[in-house]
Amino acid sequence: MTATTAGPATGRLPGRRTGSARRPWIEAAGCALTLAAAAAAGAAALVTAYRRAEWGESGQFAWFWAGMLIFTVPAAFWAVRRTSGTHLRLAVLVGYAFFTYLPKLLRNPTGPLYHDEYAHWGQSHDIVLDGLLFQQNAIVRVIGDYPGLHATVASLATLTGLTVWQAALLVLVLAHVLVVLGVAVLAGQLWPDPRIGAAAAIVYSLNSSFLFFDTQLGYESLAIAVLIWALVAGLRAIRATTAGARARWVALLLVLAVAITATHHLTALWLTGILSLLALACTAGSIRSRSDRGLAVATRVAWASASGSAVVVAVWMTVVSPRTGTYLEPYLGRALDQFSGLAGGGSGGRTLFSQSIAPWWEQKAAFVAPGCALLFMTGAVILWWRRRHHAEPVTRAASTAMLLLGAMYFPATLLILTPSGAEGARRSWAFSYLGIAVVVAPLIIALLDRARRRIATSVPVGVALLASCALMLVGNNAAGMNPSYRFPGPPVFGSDTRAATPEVLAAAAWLRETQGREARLVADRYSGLILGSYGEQEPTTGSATFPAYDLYRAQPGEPIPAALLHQLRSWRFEFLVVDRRMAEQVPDIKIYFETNEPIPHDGKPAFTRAQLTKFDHLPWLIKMYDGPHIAIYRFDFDSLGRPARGSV
Amino acid sequence: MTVLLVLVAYAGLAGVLPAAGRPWIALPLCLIALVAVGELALRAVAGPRPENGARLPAARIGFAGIAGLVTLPLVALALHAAGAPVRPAPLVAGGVVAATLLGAGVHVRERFTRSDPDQPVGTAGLPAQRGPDRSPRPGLAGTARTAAAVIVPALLAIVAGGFAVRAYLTAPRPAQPGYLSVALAGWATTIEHPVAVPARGLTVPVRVTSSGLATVTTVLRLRVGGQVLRSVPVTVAANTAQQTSVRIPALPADGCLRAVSISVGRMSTGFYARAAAGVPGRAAC
Repeated sequence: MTATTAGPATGRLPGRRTGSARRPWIEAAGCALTLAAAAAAGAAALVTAYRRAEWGESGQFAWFWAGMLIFTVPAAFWAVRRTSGTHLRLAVLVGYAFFTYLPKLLRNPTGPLYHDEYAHWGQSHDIVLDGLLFQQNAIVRVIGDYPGLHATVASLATLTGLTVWQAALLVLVLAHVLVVLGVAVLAGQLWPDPRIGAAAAIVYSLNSSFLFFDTQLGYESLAIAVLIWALVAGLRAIRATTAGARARWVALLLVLAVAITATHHLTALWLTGILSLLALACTAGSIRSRSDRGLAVATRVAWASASGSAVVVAVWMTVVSPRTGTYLEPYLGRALDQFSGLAGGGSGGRTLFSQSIAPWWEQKAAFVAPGCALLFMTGAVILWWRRRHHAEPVTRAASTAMLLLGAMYFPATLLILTPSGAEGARRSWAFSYLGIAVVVAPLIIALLDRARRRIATSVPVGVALLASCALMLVGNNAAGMNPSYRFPGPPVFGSDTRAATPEVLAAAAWLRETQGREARLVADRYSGLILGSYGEQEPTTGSATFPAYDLYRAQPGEPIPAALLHQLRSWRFEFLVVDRRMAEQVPDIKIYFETNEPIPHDGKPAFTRAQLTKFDHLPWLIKMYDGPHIAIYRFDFDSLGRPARGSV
Repeated sequence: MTVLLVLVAYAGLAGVLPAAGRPWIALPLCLIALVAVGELALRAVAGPRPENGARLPAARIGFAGIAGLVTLPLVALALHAAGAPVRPAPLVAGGVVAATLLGAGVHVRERFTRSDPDQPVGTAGLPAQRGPDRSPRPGLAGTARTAAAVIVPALLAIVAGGFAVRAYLTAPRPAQPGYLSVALAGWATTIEHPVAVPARGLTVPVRVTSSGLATVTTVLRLRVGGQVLRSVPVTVAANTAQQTSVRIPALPADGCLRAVSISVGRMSTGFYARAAAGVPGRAAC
């Protein structure tokens, strides 16, 4: 399994043609026709899947994956095919990137839908209206400190006249294409065989964030594309052979680091971490081979890059966004607490696929996918070990760093068992899969090359590899994204993606038309999403230090906590929004207000109707709006304690 | 070539302002300007051959694309630091400054470094990534093939995706749940405190909205202090928002706060009121 990928590129490599035996245009036309037909069939199947889901018919999962695999399997074949030409391979990867954006595009082509999308769309919209960065966001507090994505979207919308959503789609599609190309180029920095780059891009696309999470209007979607290219710039700096070239590549890396840091906190931290891993691996390599002056220089450049990135991140998080630490810490802290509780046999865990509508085969695939990844990584480690003496030093150091990065995927899969860690675990996979992709790709090509020597094994090996990739694609997405995020359907109470009912949208529109923008209000999570985005208001759902949900929790006749009333009054809250479905149904995602709310989740509605209609009897609340489920009250704190006859 | 790229960036940015509000003109101009700025950034760093021996010619496109893309937030951040708003004119000015600086950077790099600074002699035997790039300079044909390798699949994807989105959006959808709502309207939307009702009474505008429901006849009720004062049938047509007025009679001048509730069917809106000529602050109500 040493193949052509191990050492210097001295021989003829795939994609570089000699002689006139091949007819590239015929091959390209054949590929284009095949993939265009596959893309059309795949798109039709995706539309069918979404239509079936929308009408509540069965089969949406099968149609969806049929649509995806119809295109991705032949595209993967063309991308790693030995005889594919240079430009054909590039074209296939570009087509692959575009097609894999289609599931998310079809999910919500006309406006925001996911929880974070409402926040980022609202933030971009505010910049278009006011021209100001760093405005506070009511839905996700910290995103105001990271305006990179919003500035990009708002600038494009402002300059071109596109709507905010259209500009966002353009930015997101570009970022998605750049992710695919970036992974291929990143792998190409280590191994000259272009098939490895293509295979790395395909393997990376199997991660659970690729189809739905990192394609949403969220800051990570842009930041991760920049991160990958920053890593390419970092490797180019390490490999550069003159001081001037090294300085220029490091300068580009730092500019990209600033852009990443201004866009997304976690991605910036991952960039610093990955560069540090690279520097550590180079250091270890240079200690082992002290005579290699080139590696010593590469080590210094790697440390300079990592340090520069760390300084950028530290300065931003100290000066611009000091609250980032307090925003991120509870997720990790609580996850570790819950994990140690689980390890000790305590409760606090979560049951995977509890009440999920995902079919059995998707659920099984979700459990098998990490096993497949482990198998591939084991093979990659063996390949790395065999090549450790032949591989060029920087390649060896960088592949070591990528192995370590990829290995982080496995402990993170355990955190998925904890309620607080699940989110962080999912989010880490987009980064750790970068390591998996870069080190598993040479293994795949080595296996294909080895099998190619015997006709009897070439087809089964190819089919087995494609089947494994398909299984990982299905399983990772099943594990990483809730079906209600992946498929449309009828309105469901307590679902981020199905919260935008006509009634809530109308209430948000009425509030904006009659009361203007940016009024502070208390709401549940789902009403808050709509009111904070389309309604252009500033909702709060409460927190441990500002338990606004205690308004709802108070029993009729029981006084509202004075401290809470003082907070509401002094912070000039104007409205209270009540969704009476909280007394009738359990939220689809088991959250009423926020993740760590002190509200029982025992399968029954956590509120009684009396708790939610008690506001009709309180003279300090004016009932401005009422619908079948949603009521909007205005606070009149001056009337606190006044007696009144009757109720509104 | 550098001067040409700077001029292309200037032209693209200059065209954006007069094309304001016409995305089909402004968008291509903006994208051309950003690609030119990205290419300038790439040339300032790596020179004209950034592929560096790679057999997948994606590095140039990728670096130029990413550099062009991050130009927007970086210019916006610079504008913020300078106290300027993120508006078309300041953004265009920022883009012009970026293109000029990068053009100057390319000039400096070309002037003060060897023609191929990242490819020194004496690197024979190194792997492709570290060795000299012996691939031919990207000629017009090579550039055209690379451009075609990006543009053709992009166009095919846009066509296929466009048809798919259109088919999805235009297909019949299940009916959304309907609703009937009632809300304060007109001057009543500004009620922030108990209302003082004059002796001649008070007219309160109310908006009744029906969406996704059939025409329905229901009852409009006025309750004051918990007592029904008026109850009339009202017909709410399907998919309409109609404004109606409810007259509140004079309230007893006893200073008591009374709830005023206006309901249409099960939905109600309301506020608190007392007589304008009452005795404020009476305790026993």
